[in-house]
Amino acid sequence: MPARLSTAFFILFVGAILTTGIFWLFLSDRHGFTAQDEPLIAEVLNREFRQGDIIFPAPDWDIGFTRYLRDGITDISYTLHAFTKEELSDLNNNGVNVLWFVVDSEERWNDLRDRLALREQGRFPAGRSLVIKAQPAGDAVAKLFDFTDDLAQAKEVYFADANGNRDNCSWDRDRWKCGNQEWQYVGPQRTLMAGRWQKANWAHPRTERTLHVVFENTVGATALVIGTSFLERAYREENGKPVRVAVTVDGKELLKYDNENIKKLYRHRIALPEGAQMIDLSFWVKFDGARHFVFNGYLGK
Amino acid sequence: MTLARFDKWDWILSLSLALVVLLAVMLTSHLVGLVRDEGFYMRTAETTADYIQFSLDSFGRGQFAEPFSKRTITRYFEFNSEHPTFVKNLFGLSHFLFYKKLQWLSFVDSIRLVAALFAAATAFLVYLFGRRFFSRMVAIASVPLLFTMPHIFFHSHLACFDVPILFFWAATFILYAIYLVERRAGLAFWIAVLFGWAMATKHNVYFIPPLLALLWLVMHFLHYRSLDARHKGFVGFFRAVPLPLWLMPAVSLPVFFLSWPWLWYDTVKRFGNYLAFHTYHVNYTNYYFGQELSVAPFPFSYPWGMTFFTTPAPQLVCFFAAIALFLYWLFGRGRTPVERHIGALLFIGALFPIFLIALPSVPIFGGIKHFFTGQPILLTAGLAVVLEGAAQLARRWPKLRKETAQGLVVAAALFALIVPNAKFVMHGAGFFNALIGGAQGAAENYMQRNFWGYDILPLCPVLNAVAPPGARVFVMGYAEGLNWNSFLYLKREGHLRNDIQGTNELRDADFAFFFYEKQNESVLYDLYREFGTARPLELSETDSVYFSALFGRVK
Repeated sequence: MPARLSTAFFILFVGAILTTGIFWLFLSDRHGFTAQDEPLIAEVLNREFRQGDIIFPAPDWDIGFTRYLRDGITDISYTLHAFTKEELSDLNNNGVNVLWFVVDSEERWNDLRDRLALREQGRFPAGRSLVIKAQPAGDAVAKLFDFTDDLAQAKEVYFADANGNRDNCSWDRDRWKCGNQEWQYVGPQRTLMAGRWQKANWAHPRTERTLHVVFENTVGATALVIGTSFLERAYREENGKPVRVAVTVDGKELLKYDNENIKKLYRHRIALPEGAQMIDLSFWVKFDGARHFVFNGYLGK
Repeated sequence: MTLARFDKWDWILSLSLALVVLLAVMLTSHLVGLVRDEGFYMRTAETTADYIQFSLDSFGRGQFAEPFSKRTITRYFEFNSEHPTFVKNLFGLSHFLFYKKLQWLSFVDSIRLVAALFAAATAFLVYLFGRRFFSRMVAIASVPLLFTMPHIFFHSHLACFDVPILFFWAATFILYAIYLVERRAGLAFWIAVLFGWAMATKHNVYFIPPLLALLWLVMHFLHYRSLDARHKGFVGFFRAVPLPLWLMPAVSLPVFFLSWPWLWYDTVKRFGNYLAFHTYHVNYTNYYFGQELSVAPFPFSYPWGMTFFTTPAPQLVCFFAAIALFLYWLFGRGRTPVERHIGALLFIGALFPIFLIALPSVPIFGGIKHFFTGQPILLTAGLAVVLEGAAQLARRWPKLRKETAQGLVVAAALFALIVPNAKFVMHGAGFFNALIGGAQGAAENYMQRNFWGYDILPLCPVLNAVAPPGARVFVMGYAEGLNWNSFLYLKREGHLRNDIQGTNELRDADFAFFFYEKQNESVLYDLYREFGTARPLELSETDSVYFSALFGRVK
C-alpha cells in the first residue's frame, strides 16, 4: 500500500485515540440533569403540579429527577421531540392545565420555546436546570368541546352495517360500551399517537361496519380539529387494513381520508358551516384484525 | 504473496492471548444480565445435558440404539428446533460436565463458557491472520483491540450464536485466503469441516459458498491468460476449482447433518420448516435516528450507520484502512492474480454481512450482532495499515525503533479505550462512539440502546431487599423484556430471591422491571398509571442515560 496512504491512516488513528480519550474522560456525561439538581427539580414539581398537568423532561433520556417525585405524579411525557407546535397546542385545555418543561439548560429551553412557539408563564430555577411553566402560543383554535374530555356528552355512538342496521353503544362509567369483547368500546385513555403521548379515544373499528360517534354542536363551534392514528400494535402488523375516516356535518361530508397502516398522526382542521348542528365522526375498516385505533380532537372557534 | 511462518513463539503468544480473553470474559460474566435469547438456549442446554445423561444410561444398559431412535431425538431436540444444534450441543456438553458432574461452574457460567471459548478461538484466529499476512506486532495488537470493542466483548459473554458465528464466518474467509496462497489439501479439508460446523451454528454462512464460487469464477476468467495450461479448457476449468469448493458439499453437508440430530428423521419436512422459519423471520422493531423500523423496507444506511457509530473511533479508522488495503490488493498496479483474489475475498468477507442486512427487505432482528461477523478481518487488516504508517513515520527518527513506535501507539489506543469499556461492561449492546456523542448523543438521536432485558442485574439487589415474600414482579415479557426462562435462571443463579414470582400482567404485579426501548415506551406510561407513581426504586444508567428501571406499586 502506498506509504502516504498508510501514514494518513496512522495520523487518523492517532486523532481517533485522542478523540476517544478526551471524549470519554471529560465530555461523555456533560448533558442531562446533575445529581444536585434532581431533588430540586422534584421539589418544584411536587409543590406546583396539579392533576391534568403534563411534564415534559428535556432531555428525555435522563429520568433521575423522578426518583424524588411524590406519588401521584404520573403524567410525564417523553415524547416532546415528536410534537409539532400545532399538535402541542392541541393539548392546551384553555390554560386550565399546565405544561411543565424540565430542561437541563437555558439553551435547551430557548430551542424548545422557539421550535414549539411556547409562551413562558413561570420559571423555577433548580440549580443549573430549569422548571418552566408554559403554554403554546400559536394560533390555536379556542377549545369549546373536547372529544375526549367530553366523550360522555356524545349524542350517540353506534356501529352500522351497509344496510343501515345499528348496534348501539351505551355509556358505562367511563366509556361507551359496544359489545362483550374487551376491545369493543369507545373510551378515553392516554396513549401514544404516532409517538406523541396524549389523550385520545380508543375506537377499534369492526369488520365492514361503520363506527359513528355523533356530537351535537351545542357550543356554537365554527371549527373542528380531528386527530387519528393507529397504535403501535396495529401499525407494526404488516398488511393491516387502513381505517376510512369521515367527518359529516348535518348530513354533508366535509372530510374523508384513509388512515393508512403506518406510524402517523393524521391531523385535520376544518371550518364548520354557519349554524352547524350534528357532527358525525365515522370510522370504517375492511377487516378489523389488530386495528387498534384512536382519535381525538375538539370543537372550537 | 508469501505468508509468514507460524512458529513456536506464535503458538505461545496466540494461545496466551486466547487464554487472557477467555479469562476476561468468564471473570466478567457476573456483570452481564441474561438476555432473552439465552433463556431459550440455556433451556436447550439443559435438555441436551439430559440427552447426554440419557445416552450414557442407555449405553450402560446395553441399549446402544436407543439414544438415536426417532422417539429419543424428538423428545430431546424438538425444543428450539428452528435453530441448528452444533453450538447448543456444546452448551449442553459444557453444562453436563462443568455444572452437573464436576460442579466447577455455576449454572449460567457452565453454558456461557462455550461462548467464551469461541471468543478465545476468535482471538487465536485474529492472531493467526495478523501473523501470517502481516506481522507479529499486528497479530498481538489485534486481539486486545478487537475485544475492547464493547459490542464484541459484550456478546462474547452470551450463551448465543453470535460470537460463534462471528468466529466461523471470519475463519472461513481467513483460512480460505491462506488456502489460496498455499493450496494445501489438509487445510481445504479443515475449511470444509469448519464450514459444516458453521452451517450447523447459524444460517448466515449459507451465503459463503455462492460468494466464494462466484468470486473464483470471475477471477478465473479475468486472469484466464495467465493460467497454467492445465487449468485451461473445459477439463482444466474443473481442475482449477479450489478444493474447498469441492469439499463443501462433500464434507460440510455431512458434518452439518451429523451435528443436528433433529434432521435425522423427517429430514425434508424438518429442514423445510427450518428454512421457512428464517425466510419469514419476524422483524424486531429498532429505532434508528428517531425512525421506527418495524416493517420493511428498511433504510439501506441502517447497518452501515450502526457500524459507524457503534465502533470505537480507533477501530473504526482501522475498518476504513482495511477497505483501502483490500481495494489496493484488488486494483493496485503489479498485483498478482492471487493477491487480487485475496483482496476481493477479504473485502467480501468483511463487508458482505453489512451489505446483506442493508438490503431493504431483509428483516432487522437483533442489531449489530447480526452484521459484525466481518469485523475481525477489518480490524486486523486495518491495524496492519495503521502500524505500517507508524513504521513509515518512525523511519524519520533513526533512534526510534519501528516496534517501539508501533507498541506506543497501540498502548495509547488501549489506554483510551479503558474508560468506555469500563462504562459499558454491563451495557455493551448500548455502546455508541464519540462521533455520535456516546450514550447521550445516541439517546438524543433516538438510537436503539437496549434490547431484550439484559440490563437487569443492577435492579435485582434492590428488588431482593424491598420485596415482601412471594411478591410478584412484572417482567415485560411481551414487550421484548425478559422471557420466562431467563427470569427463572436469574433466580437459579442467585440474582433474584427464589420466592419472587414473575408476571406479564401489570395489574397483577407488585413490582415492575422496565427495560427502556423507545418502541416499548407505552409500557412505561401504563406502568406509571397502574402503579400510581413515576418514582423508580432503582435506575440503571450510564452517563446519566437510563437503560432500565425498577418500580414498586403504591396504589
